[in-house]
Formats: sequence, C-alpha cells, structure tokens
Amino acid sequence: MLLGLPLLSSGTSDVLSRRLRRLLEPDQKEVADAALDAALAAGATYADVRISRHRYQDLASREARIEAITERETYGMGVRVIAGGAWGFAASPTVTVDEAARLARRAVAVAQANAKITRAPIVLAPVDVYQDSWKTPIEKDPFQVPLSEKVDLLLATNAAALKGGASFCSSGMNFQHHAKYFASTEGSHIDQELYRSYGSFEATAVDERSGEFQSRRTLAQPVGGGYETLERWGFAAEAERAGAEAREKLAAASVEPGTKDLVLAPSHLWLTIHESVGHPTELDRALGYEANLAGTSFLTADKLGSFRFGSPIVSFQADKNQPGGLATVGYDDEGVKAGQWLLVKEGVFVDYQTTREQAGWIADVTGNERSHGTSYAEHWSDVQFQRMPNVNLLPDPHGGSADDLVGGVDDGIYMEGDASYSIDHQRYNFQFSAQLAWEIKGGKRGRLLRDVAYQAITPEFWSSCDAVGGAGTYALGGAYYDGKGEPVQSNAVSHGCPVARFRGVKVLNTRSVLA
Amino acid sequence: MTATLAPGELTEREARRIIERVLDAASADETDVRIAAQEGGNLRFAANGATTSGEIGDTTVRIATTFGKRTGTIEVNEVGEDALAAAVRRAEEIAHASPKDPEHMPPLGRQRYPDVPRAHITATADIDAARRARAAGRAIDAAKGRDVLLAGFLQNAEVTEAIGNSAGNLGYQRRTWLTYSNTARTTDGAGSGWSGVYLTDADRLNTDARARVAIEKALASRTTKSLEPGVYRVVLEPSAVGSLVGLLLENMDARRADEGRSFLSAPGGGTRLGQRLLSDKVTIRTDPASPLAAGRAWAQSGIPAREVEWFRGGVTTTLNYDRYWASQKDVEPTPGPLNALMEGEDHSLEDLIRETDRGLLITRFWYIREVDPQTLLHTGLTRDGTFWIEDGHVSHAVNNFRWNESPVRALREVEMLSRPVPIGDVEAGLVPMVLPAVKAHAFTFSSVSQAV
Repeated sequence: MLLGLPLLSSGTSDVLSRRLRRLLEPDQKEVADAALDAALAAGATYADVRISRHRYQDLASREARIEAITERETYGMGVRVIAGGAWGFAASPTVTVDEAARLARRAVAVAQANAKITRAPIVLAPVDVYQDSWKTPIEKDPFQVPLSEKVDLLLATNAAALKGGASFCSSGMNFQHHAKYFASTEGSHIDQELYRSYGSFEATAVDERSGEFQSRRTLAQPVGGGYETLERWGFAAEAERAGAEAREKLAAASVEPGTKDLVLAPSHLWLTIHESVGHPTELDRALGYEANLAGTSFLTADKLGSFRFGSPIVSFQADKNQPGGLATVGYDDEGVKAGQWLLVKEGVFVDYQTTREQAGWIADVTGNERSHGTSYAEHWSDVQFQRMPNVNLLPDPHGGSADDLVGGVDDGIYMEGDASYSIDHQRYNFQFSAQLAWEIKGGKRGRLLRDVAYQAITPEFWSSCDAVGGAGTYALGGAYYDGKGEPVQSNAVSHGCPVARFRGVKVLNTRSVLA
Repeated sequence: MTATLAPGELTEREARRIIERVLDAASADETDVRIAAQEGGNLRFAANGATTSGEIGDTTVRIATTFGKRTGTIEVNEVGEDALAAAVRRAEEIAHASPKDPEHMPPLGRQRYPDVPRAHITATADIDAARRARAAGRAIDAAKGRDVLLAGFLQNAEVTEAIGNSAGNLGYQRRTWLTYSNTARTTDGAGSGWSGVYLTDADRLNTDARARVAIEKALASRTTKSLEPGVYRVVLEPSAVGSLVGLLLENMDARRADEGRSFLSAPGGGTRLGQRLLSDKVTIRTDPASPLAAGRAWAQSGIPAREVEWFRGGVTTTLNYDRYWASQKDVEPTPGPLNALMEGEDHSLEDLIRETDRGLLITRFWYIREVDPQTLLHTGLTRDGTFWIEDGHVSHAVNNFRWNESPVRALREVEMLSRPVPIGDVEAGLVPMVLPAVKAHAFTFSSVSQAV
C-alpha cells in the first residue's frame, strides 16, 4: 500500500515518493527468485523475470492553447520460460511473491502447450552473469522539470511559427522513464533506468484562395537523454524559420521529375538507414520469423560475408553504447551486456542483429556463438524479442562538409528532415520524401522545391553513395515509436550519420504522379 | 504490495465502486474516469512451428480532472484506494499547472449507450493456450507436404470498459475479439500468400481453411511474369479495400477541413461536404448494430456509438466533428468510425474477375504512408499474391509493385463490387470492417518491387 503518498508529483516530492515506494514495494529479488524457483520446479529449463515501472508524460498544444497534459504509469512483471524446448510467457500487474510463482507455472503451461507444435528445441547462447545497474546519463530529469516551463516552451514555439508565416502550429513533448529489473536462472540480477525525451512541432501554411496548404515539421530528433536536450535545441528559433518555410513552400517550384544526385542531411538520412539497413539486418526477419507481418529480408543468410551492400565508403555499425542513443542500454532484456559491432564493413554485409536464441543459428558463418544483445520488450506485459540497436553510418575520417558534397553536384537536390517513408516487406524498394528539398545547380544550393520524393532499391542506392561527410557533419536521428512483432511492440532507436551523397537517384513529382 | 485488479474481476458493480472511489477522492470541478481491462493470450508461429506466446492481463484507470477550464489527466494500473487517491491528487496537480483551455467542454451528462449485439462471445474469451496451440497446429498441418513454410499469429482477448464522471454519466461494456492471420511462403522463397480475419466469435475461426487460402496463393505465385509499372484496372480483394477505406475514414475531421488543410477543404473556403467525391457505387457507414462488426459502445470522447453515414452514393454525407467543433458549427458531434461497413453488390470475387478483360488481382497492401495530404496521395506496396487477369481468368502471378495513389481517386473509379465480408488486416487498422472486393478502372503502380 502507498499509505496515501503521492504516486507521482513534480519536484522533490516525486523523489521522496519514489524512494518511499521502493521501500514499500516487495523486494524485487525476492519476487524474482520466487518466479525462477517456481518455473524450475514446474519443469522449465530456463526462466527470466522482468519487473518494470514505465512512466510517460505527454504534452500537446496548438497555437495559443495547451490541448492536453497526460501522465501514464504502468507497473508489473513478466515471466518467460523454456519448457519442453518451447517458449512460454505470462505477465501480471500484481507484483508479489505468490503471483510470481503463479505466473511462472502459467508460463510453463503455455510453453508445454506450444511444445507440441515446436519444430526444434530452443537453445540459448552462453551469457556472462552480472549483478549490476545502469542509468541513462541525464542532466535534467524531465519528470522533475515544472510543467509551467514546458508549457511556456510549447506556446513560444507555436507563436514563433505563426510569426514566421504559418497559419497553424501544433507542438508536443513526450518523455519516458523506464525502471527495469531483470533476473534469470543464469544468475544475473540487473537494475536499469532509461530516460527518453522528445520535442516536436509542425507548422502549416494555408492559402485559402487556392485551397493549397503546406507543412514543415521540426528537424529536432528524440534522444536517450534528459530535458536538457530540448532546452538546447532552440525550438522557437527553428519554428519561426519553419513558419516562413511552410509559407515559402506554397509558392515553391514543383520539382521536375527525373534522375538526379541527392545530398542527404542527417536529419533526413537517419530514416533511410533505419528502413533500408536497420530492418534488413535483423536475423529473425531474414529467417522468416517475422514473415506474417513485418516481412522477411533480402539479406538472406547465404549473403553473409560476401554480399556487396553498398560502395566501399559505406560502413554501418550497430551500437548499444552510443551516447544519446534511444536504444542505448547497459544490458539487453535477456541480460547480455551492450556492445558494438559492424553490420556492413566497407560496403560488404558482414553480420546480423542477434539474441541469445539466434546467435547459434549463424555461428558457423560468423564464428561468434554469443548474442549481440538485441533483445527488448516494450513493457513488463510484452515478451522480449529481437529489436534494433542504434545503427549508424560511420563518417569518413577525411570527409568534408555538406557544402563540400553539394559542390560536387551539377543537377541535384539537398534534403533535410524526414517526411513520408515506405519500404517493401523484403526491404528492397523504398520511397522517401523530406521536410525541405533544396535545388542544387552547378554545385550551389538554390531555391526551395516542393512535391519531391525519391525511389530506389536498397543495394543500388547504397552502391550509388560516392561521398560520406566527416565527423563534423555527424548527427543523431531517431524513431520514437518503431513497431515490430505480433502483438506489435514499440521500440525507440537512434541512427547516427554524417551527410552523404548519392548519384543518379529516381526523383518523382508527387503532384503529377497520378496520371 | 501493489493493489491491482484482475481483468475478470471488473464486474459492473466493481467498476462503479472504482468510479465512485475516484469521484469521492476528487476535489476538482469536474472529474472523468475511464477503466479498461483486458485479459487474453497470443501465439505466434513461423517456419511451421510455434515461436513466442503469452498470456497477459491488466486493468488501467484513466482520470481527467478539471478546475474551471484547466485539465490534467493521469492513467495508472494500480487500483487500490490509496493509489487511486494519489492518482487523483496528481491529476489535480497537473490541472492546476495547466493553462486555461478555451476549448474545454463540460462533461457529458448521463448518456444512453447502445447494447452492442454479439460484442461479447464467451467462447472467444475462454480460449486458452492449449486451444491456441491446437488451432495453430491445424494450420501448420495444412502446410505439411505442400513445400511451404507457414507463419502466423493468433490473439484473443476479453475487454471490459467502464466510463463515469462527476456529471452522472455511467457506462459499462464487455466485449471479445480475436485476430488471426497467416502467411505461407514457398520453401524456395519464390511465392507468398496471406489470409487473415478479425472476429468477435471464435467459432468462425477455421485456421486450416485460412491456411489453405494462403498456401494456394503462395504456390500460385511461385512463378511470376514481369509486368512493367503503369496504370492498370484492378480487382482489389476486401483486405486491400480495407486499407483504402481506412485512409478515407482517418481523414474525415471536420475542423481540418474547415481550416483549409484537408482533402475535404474546398478552394476559396468551406468544405466538400455534400459533394460527390467517389463513385456512386460507394456507400460507407459506421453501425454498432452490425452483427459482423461489433465494437465499442462509445467513442473515446464518451459519445455513444451510433450509425453514421460517411459517404452515400459517392457523396460526402458527414464529417467527423469532435464536441468542441460541433458546438462551434452548431451540429451534432460524431462518435467517429468505430467500425466500417461498405455496401456491396450481389456478386462474388470470382464474378469480378470474370468481368475483367485485363487487369491485376491484388491480395493486400503493405507499408502505406501519406505523401500529400492535399490530394490524399499515399504510397504503398502490393504483397502476398499479385496476379494478372486475362479474359476473365487469373492467368499468372506477376511481380509486386510500389504504388502512388489516392483512395479518393481509386474509389472514384469503381466499376463493380462483391458481397461484403469481415476483414482483418493491420494495414487497414483494427477496427472491425465488413467490406466488398472492388473492381476499379485505374490504379497507379509507379515501380516494380522485387520483394516476394
């Protein structure tokens, strides 16, 4: 019982209530041990327990009005087992020793039912045992920042967009705090706290006479970090510029479709990396485990180590340690320590993302019997499975600036910010558009264009990359709500990249595409 | 310990007790309470074997408190007396920190919520892990010896929702749902087929029959002939139609139309309400009384579910008004598209194919995203069974395509409809939908997708 203490509150009372709550809640290790013992007694050969509390704070505004301020909190535990060679899982919001044992027995019963239709017994890769804790490095806990500061920032952002020329502006903030405890029959007990912060806006300009409207969203990106990341962005200044650019887009020249060179800023390129590199290098996809919804992958296991994915200047690194990364953790959700590894090395596809179940499936090719640590579950109520780490395009140590890359283009487009995105279910054919598309003529960035989208085939696109910018152009973008699995779970993941140039890409005019 | 409530314990009496407890703890001018409990399980399978599965239950309480025009909202899953009192206090703290909302609407008084027929089927609520495994096993058995690998997903849930507020409104509804889909891929990776459904009644599941549909499509699409992108006549199976209808219904917001930033905005101001935007064969409505599409008894706003006609004979007949915008425009607020029913004609899918000289048969769409909100242009792809029709027969499979098309344009080109059936495709959204197959004169495919 909480004895009437505030469940959630701002300022010091929140810290106090959380400390007291931790004292009043049952000992996590005691609960976890009850589940693990009960699972083994019921016939499980492996079990893990996750006890977690997830907090969210969401603010939404438009123009001079705060539409909603909402806080959500969910607490519970999930028990996963292997019994009869099959997975079983059960979850409950009741975190007690008795419920832990009941859940464990239920998870074993689920596994035993599934064992009748399982093709091969689950075998887990070896893992080291840890007693450890980890926390996202933050300067300002977003849940401690007074709401009035956030409200002021949102309303100032909207006002600036209207001042810049927008007819409307909507903005919002979304903060997450995940307190996660993990224990397994391997002997690990791991405590982690993850923080994520996101601020955004969209300015829209309307020309009532013609009935035309155009929008321009922020180039700000969600991060694994605290409120300081929003304070540093400069939302009001960007919003004023965005309001003017939304208005400018109404009168902008409509793009001439054709084959053009593209220079893509990190605020745009991160999403292309996410869809065309992050997802196809998921091993569960490649082997058909996501075939029923998310799809499979053109990067089949026979291509591992030899397939030419892109040009030799293109290397992609998976990185669960990246500062500011949304998928950055100390340990994954099955107790594997976070690390880094290459997925594409100098243009060649060399590795996948793996979990403990998956590592052995390709160990004969990779020589690595250990998991890369990409197991993740959104909540206590979700079973963990393979999810994307931060996947980054490495900068060229000798790479130049955005202007340097633009300088090498005679007829092309410079694109900033992510907009529409779509890719097929094997990750070949994609189409993207941007918030801002600037014409490049004779090596110079010129006027704003509208109605721009580009289409490409993944390995052809990355093979057309002839320049990657230097570390000075590197920035982090990210997906706050990346869906995968059935039932669909949301993951948050970042993608760092420098500016990059691509030759001869098919550009569409989205107004003339309908014949 | 945490005080929680198993979803099965959320009786109408218990729901009233929780609502009263929240209202008693509240000091705000207005308090609104929503309770949602869900209990159920799921099973995934792939490569002809079970993968992950689980059984989960949870109960959440959402509390919105308002002082004057300042509102704060909190949602928790701990429902003990102290936890609820603490949640109320936090919601009130948020309300005090919030600016006045000039658009705040007073709470709804007592509403009459419809008794949605067949919304709750005990047989669906009672499905357990063993029955899920047997159902998946029947589908996997259908794949054996057919040179295909089957992947699929079965999920069932019992949902209980309650609503109450300080103005005396009260509502309680219990319902069930079940979703099943499976994808067959030939072992050489050359062919793929899909079938899926969303139901309230588990007795209509038939996993082996649904597996056979996916398997036959996979085998039939194993050998494809290349087809160039272009504008083709199409026969869209109901799942593909669901994607287009879903895009339309998501974009019916009246305020955005009035503000000039919707495909329903008219040049010079005003909206396209009353204009014929679609083929005169297209009538789309929402009706909670539909036995094949039973759903929620009230909308998120608390407005009772009722019949709403969105398009009649291709003419836009209703826009979606929230309570505030409805008050500004002096119209009735709408509960939104809680389900989607599209009228059909007395034809089968085979009849539509028979009446097609040359065109494409599309099983379903994938990864649909908006490209241009002005024209409602979207892009997406075909997958899991794309076939060429020649002289009234399915002639052969063809490659998949990326398309760029607007549901407005596509549904303006309708030539023929089949009898409606329930569908279940995540790409269409998971509100219940009962839709026909559609034969349409033109659909724009802009590039080839090598994906199978």
